[in-house]
Amino acid sequence: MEVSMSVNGDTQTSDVEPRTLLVHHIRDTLGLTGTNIGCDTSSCGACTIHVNGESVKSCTMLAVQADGTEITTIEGLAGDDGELHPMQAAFMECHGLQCGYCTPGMVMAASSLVAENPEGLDETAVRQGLEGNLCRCTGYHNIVKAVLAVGDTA
Amino acid sequence: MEYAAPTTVDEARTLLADNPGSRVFAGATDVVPQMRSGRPEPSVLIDLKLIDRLMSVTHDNGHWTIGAAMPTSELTSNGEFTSVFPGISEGAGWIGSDQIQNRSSLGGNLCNGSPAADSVPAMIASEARAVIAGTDGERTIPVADVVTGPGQLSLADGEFVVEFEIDDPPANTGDAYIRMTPRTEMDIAIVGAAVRVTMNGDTCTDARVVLGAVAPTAVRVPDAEAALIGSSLDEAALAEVTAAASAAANPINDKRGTIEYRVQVAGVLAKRAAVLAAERARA
Amino acid sequence: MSVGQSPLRHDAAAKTDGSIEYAGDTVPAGALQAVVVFSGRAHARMLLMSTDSALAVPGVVDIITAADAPVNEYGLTMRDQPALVGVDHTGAAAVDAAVSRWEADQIAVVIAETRAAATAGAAAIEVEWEDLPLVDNIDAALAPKAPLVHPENGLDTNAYHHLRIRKGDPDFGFALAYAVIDEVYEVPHQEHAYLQPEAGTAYIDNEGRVTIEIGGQWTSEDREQVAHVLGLPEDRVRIIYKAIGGAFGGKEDMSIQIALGLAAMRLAERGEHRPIHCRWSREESIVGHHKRHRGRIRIRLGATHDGTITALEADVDLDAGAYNYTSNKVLGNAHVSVAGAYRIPHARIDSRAIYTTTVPGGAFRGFGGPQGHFAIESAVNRLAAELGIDPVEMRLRNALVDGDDGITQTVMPEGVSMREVITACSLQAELDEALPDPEPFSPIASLPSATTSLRRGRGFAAGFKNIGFSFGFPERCEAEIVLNGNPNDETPTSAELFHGGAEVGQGAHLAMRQMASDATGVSLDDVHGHFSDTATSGDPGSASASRLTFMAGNSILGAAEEAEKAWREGDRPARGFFRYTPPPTEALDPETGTGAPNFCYGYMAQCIEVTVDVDTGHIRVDRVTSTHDVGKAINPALVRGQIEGAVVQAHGYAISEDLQLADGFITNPRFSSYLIPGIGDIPLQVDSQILEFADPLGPFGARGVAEMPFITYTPALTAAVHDATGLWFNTFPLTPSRVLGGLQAAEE
Repeated sequence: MEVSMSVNGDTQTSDVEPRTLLVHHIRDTLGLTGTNIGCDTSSCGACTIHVNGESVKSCTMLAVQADGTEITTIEGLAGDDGELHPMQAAFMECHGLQCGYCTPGMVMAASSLVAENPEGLDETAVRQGLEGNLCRCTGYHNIVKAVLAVGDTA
Repeated sequence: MEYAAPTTVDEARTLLADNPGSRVFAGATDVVPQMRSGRPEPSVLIDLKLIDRLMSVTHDNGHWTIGAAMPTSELTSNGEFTSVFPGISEGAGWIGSDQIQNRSSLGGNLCNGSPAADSVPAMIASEARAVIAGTDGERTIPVADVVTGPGQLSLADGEFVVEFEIDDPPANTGDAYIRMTPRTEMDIAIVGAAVRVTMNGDTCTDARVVLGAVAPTAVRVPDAEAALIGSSLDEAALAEVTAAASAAANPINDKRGTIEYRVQVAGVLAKRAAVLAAERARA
Repeated sequence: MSVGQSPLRHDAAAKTDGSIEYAGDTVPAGALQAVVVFSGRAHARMLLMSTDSALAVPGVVDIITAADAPVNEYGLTMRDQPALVGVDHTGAAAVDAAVSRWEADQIAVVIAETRAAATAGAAAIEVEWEDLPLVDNIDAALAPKAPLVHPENGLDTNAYHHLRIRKGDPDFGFALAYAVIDEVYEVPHQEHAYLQPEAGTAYIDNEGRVTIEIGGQWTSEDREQVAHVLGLPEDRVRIIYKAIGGAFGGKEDMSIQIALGLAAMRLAERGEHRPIHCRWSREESIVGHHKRHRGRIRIRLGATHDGTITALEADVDLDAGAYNYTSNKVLGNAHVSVAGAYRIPHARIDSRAIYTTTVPGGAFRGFGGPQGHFAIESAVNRLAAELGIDPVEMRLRNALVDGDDGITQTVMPEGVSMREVITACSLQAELDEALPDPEPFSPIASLPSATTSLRRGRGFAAGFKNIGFSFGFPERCEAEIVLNGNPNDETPTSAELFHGGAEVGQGAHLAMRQMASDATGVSLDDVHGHFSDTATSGDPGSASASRLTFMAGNSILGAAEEAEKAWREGDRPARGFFRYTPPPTEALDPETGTGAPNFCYGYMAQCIEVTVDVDTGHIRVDRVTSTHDVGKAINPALVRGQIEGAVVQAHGYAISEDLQLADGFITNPRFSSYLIPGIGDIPLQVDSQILEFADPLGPFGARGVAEMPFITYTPALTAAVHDATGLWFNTFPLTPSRVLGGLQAAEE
């Protein structure tokens, strides 16, 4: 089937098999390997992207379902001038990463969480908002700090 | 496998009738992992997310209509619905993480047929009805009658759930759904309990108690309801609720929780849900 | 000065913008896809294998089997594992290569145009097996006339490795004791669950070397094991590490390296020069690689009225699974750590590694330390309770100090800081303040709690962990530094650091650059690292044993000194190479266990506060105080990252991670059923307390820290649960079911 979607601002039209998961389409067809795969059960959140502005695990969608949508992956989060998104900068500065494999999904989920809560976030809200993303290295404390640095109520 | 995205109920009905081995799906948060786990692929995967009727929520003439494929995040962020049915909203809100919430739906949660489905007990406690489309038109049945066993539905071939109907509750009514999971979130309930009560002052005049994850389907607990009705939710009544809920639990033993555990905690959760529902009813 | 500062990681930008390349990301154009086929048999003899139908599957290019392995045996410390199980093979193997000894013994590598074709080919391989008796736990393995998993080793038991300690006169010691506790502790498996499953790409490089791009923990050791099976000199094999998505010990042994190497070598011989890519799914990863050892430890510990320990007896049995991997070394660590960091005058310890037909046990953060410490620290807490002595006081009374002999009857390496660490932790944790009453809380948003069912408690544990390889294993680390500048420059303008040490996420490469910066006087920004490629870097030893900062630091200091010598002699660029070797260690005497096992230790103590919901069995950890003598924090932010990360991994081990086996098969190889902690599960507060008592041998005084915060967590937690509920748990994870079951049993 032919599907067309806007990916990081560029229209991408491709012929995909209906069984192809969106995450495989993004990685293997479009070559955007910043979106990682960490499990087979939609548990880890490493493949989180934005579909029409909302965070979605790209392993829970078929590529054909993304026809006509606007998709942002980690590669498209920075500004056009290459300046990092504030959430990316905060993960760097707060040491919110170690091996980095969960980081793109964390950053995508966190940036959407902050965008959806313009009135601000507290620690509890951050913990609840990121429950869909697993990290095995950091112990999460620095991740919470990074998200609060961008989305704190204070 | 083929993929189809109809835009009307009729179109979906025709596709389902014309293609043996096809199946409908909404958010795909279950169907996609299931396909990957080696279950046979359907002949046609029929996406319901482009049918407006399945994607909306309305409140008219004393009842609510909720599209079966609408993302649960839209339901939980609907302030009016959540203030009337906090328990249903809680159940819907615990189907996976935020990212999953943008894809998951009440219809998918119900029709997956899991006894642990989080949105189901509170819907049953509010006597929600499912509107079902099939080859011969539409019919409406209680949500409690849709699932007949793990993964088993009473729906005939060619039928699918279009929407849910829930009547406005009487005054001074509150509901609650609570659950136990081994992990904090992002996990499947090993025990769930929904309670809805109507209060007249300190006296409970109506009650529904429904357990999830402790039997092949969600189950109502008439003995617990009887213990609540006419009581002021005093210690003695709550002890009866606890005992009745534990007695009604008929769980399996699995990796996630032992039989003994599920039986005991079914009682604990039914009691806590009753207290919470009554607090909300009085508020 | 850069050492002691916390500059930002140089890989952080690439990790936050998605541009960094893990081995699974780099699939060269035109690459073939490989699927590694598991036996799917816990214990069985292969009678026949046919690949004819599989080769006929459209898209399948070739299938590598045992017949393709010039030497069909491997293993990090013992070559007891066939590279590929098969009936037709070269015969060059010390192990019977026709037998599958666990479900993930590899039998073939299917190479195809697409992953789908390779998967279809794998399904079309026809194998006939003769089932052999299951030996799926240590009781079955130790039963009289138990089937032998490795009959070829000539032993009449599956307990193939046995360590002893005979010190003083335990009977006399126990006679002096006022109180003795005698308990059996069971420790469970643990899965590493690094977020990046195994992936790699193999090809022949432009110098004709079999080249494997992958993630691992020790480039040179990977190369040695691959070269051994391929029958090649080591310099004909090249290992390059891409960005590594976590390891924790789980990437220290081979997974797909040998399969990829064989595939690249044989395909090239057949004229096919396309690169070959392989990527494991999560399920393949969990089924296909080793685990933290499960086991059973019986311990008997006696003390006088005032808490002075008089005698210890311990029997440590670890389930090694189907193959040794590093079990003999892990066992050694458990063997030494089961005595804790205490003066113990009389002791008998017998430790055994036992083959079974289950997933192998191997390296995992702590390396035997968590198992040993769970037993001794639980025993000390229990004995203190029985004697009515404060557990901190009990530990201070018995803690080792400089000049003491350890349990192996040799003097401890200088710099024993156990007492200081215990004291600092007890002060930081405010142990003299009573715990406040529990506040209503819900460990989970979906489960409001009743205050009446909440109980609070706190627990303490302390211990030590060696830094570096033990028991005489050759320890070394190599570095090369090149100083750049013009002939007239007094000081170099930039430096190149060549080092093999693996960056598994811990920040090792940044710490190495910081140390190189201080050692050369070149500013950090001008120190450029070239890492983890056997073509350009020497032998680093592994990123394990909390050793990399210590060993790499010393190698860097040496290389900088050599480079500066060359600089002063006028070389431009000036090169310096150095191979650091620490003081030698010794294998323990087989009868008495006497010997110097280690050259350096790190000391730690932890205090944990919990709230337990006694109606649901749910445990919330409110606060963790984790105190560590790291010698010198080269980069304090990275040290805190290690502490916080290890604490949460240990939290999963203690509370939720429950690997299930049935008939030798792992039944929950998924993140949906094997539950690692999510962000909502973690301790609410982790206080990382970093102490810096310089190690006399450490670079800038540094010791190590990666494993220590893991090791004492479980015994501190079970002590806290005891404080809250009055119940001692001798096994874990403390899932709600186990906690509530224990509470119910205690009521009856």
